[in-house]
Amino acid sequence: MQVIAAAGRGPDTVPKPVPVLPLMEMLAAADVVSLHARLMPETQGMIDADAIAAMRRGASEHRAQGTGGWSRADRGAANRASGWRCFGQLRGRTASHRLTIAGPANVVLSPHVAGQTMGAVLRVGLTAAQAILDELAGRRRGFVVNPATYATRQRGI
Amino acid sequence: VDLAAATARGIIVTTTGPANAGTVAEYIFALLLALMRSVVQAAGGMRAGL
Repeated sequence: MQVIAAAGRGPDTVPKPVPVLPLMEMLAAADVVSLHARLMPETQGMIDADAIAAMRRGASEHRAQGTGGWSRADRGAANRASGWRCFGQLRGRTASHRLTIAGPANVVLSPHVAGQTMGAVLRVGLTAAQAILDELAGRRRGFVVNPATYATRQRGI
Repeated sequence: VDLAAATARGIIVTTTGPANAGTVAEYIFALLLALMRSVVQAAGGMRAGL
């Protein structure tokens, strides 16, 4: 099995052996697509009708609710795509939304528990605690979402 | 998190990066195999007495 990636936040976020392709090229080449992106203005609707059309017939997609990705209209396009299958994790949505995505038989649903092992929960907690310690010690962290804050501090705002 | 408000007040917002990446990858393969082998439909059918 070959793993390929499209990295919206830059190729440095992908392990070195994994080829990084433009999103549309990755979608066209993949048998399975797993989407991991925060819901941000730049990720909203990232998997739009054009992206779905670029996917191979019979391809499958995993997505987690609460991440960037589809719009409602794009889900309709996905449902119309022949042989398209999906599995996903749900959290915090309305009943009508759940019915919309639960309709097709070629969808496997799951609660949002992919990261909920004892080991992973411990790692996340320790990482968060270390981030606080680093911040208090004046050390710059990786995975900062708003690095502009450092400039804000320097200006004394 | 309101990033604009946090940035304006000098508050750093971080994620925990890949701390749970391996666990998520495991679960993706669990769901993928369930999808490809129709595990959910099979379990549902057995529960329904089919």
